[in-house]
Amino acid sequence: MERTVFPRMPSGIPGLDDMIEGGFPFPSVILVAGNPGAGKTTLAQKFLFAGAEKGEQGLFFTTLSEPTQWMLRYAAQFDFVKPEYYGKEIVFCDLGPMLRNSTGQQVLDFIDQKVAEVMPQRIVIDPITVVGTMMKDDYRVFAFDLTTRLKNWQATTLLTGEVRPGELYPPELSYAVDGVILLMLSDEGDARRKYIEVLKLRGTNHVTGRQSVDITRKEGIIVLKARF
Amino acid sequence: MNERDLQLAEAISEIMDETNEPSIYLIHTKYTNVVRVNLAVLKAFLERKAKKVIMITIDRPHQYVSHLMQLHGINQNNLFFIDAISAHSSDTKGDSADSVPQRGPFNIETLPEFLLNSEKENLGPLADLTRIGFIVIDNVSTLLIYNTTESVKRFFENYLRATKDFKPSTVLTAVVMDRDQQPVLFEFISDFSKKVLEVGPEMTVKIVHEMGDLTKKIPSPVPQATLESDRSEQAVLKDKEVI
Repeated sequence: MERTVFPRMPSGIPGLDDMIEGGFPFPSVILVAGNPGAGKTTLAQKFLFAGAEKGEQGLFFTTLSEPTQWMLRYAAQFDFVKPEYYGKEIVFCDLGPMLRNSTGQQVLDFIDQKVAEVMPQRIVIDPITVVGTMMKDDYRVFAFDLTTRLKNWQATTLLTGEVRPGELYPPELSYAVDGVILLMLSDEGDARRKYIEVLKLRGTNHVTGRQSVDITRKEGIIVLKARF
Repeated sequence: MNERDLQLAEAISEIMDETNEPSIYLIHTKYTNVVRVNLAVLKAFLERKAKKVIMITIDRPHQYVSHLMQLHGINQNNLFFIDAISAHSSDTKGDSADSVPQRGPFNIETLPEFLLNSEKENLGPLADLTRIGFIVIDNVSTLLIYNTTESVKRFFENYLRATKDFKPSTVLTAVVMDRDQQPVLFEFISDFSKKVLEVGPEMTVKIVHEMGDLTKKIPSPVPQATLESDRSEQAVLKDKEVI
């Protein structure tokens, strides 16, 4: 009998795909959770550029973390960033104004409309946790409806989520998503080291435990253990 | 739809010629392009305004296809959805498309029977099967999540017999899937296909296989004894896997 094998979408992060059977399931919604400065946005950007290199369409939703203009200014320091993809293979959409004045249903409809227009295979919402703090409606219901719709649009989506002190991941989202990737900063003596951990990835025999990561200008975020 | 998608729809329309027999056109494309190609196929079919188009959705609820079509300016007047997945999707997305839900993607081999019986139940365009010209089946690889390979194979055999029973029996069916994801199923369907097409990353289409009289390929009904032997064969395979 022919077993159903999930199509896998390579993450584009050196070393990460070896930990997750070749890539994220397609379609799926993955939460990338971590402290400020752990590399969430860099990972998400690399994910979209890796797709663009293969001709896949990407859609980047910014929320209320930093304006697109500033995010791109800092992203320009990475070698993998190619501005020729902007507006074509990678489309940016600012959800900020929508989030200020709308209900959860209106936000969902707006995202739906944009996804249907762009028809992306890779989507990023960076960061999703801001939505939770602003939403007047039930955030858990919103998270369920959002992840259901994103999967049905046939894309692999990365939601980035900032964690509060003492928190491992945003709990409202962890049930709804197909995977949780943690990016951590750890105090070790005088140094603060960066780690990645695949906490959950449905349908995938993934590597468990923390793996060291580094952020370089050339490749963005890389999993160090995979090098040796 | 961009220029490449529109050109693809045009090229598909030229390749999928109407004949006096039921035909399956099997289209291989990478899994990330299945939605785009389905959209192009629907556009190609719907622009031949004379006949009704049915889309059987398996991979995701029909509302998403309908929304995409609406946004990309594809007229849905002649389109009817048979939705085999929405009952299990917990999806709240609204729509106004003509559709009928199926009980689920399980036991898919019974769907052709549903099609043939729909005339009696007066289900929209299904009430008159002679008006149906084209059928698009969503990503069939997904069927293997809910059914055995043998059930899916029986679905295709029953389906071909059912479309032959339509009067007139000239229904043209398009199946879009990624060959590399389910090579055995792809090979099986290609045996019954009038043409096998390939859509590349640049959204260009080429014919990779063409066959003659399809009606000769339509199998006789599968006897129960054979079904039993399928099960035995599966049991043996399962045992081998354990070993």
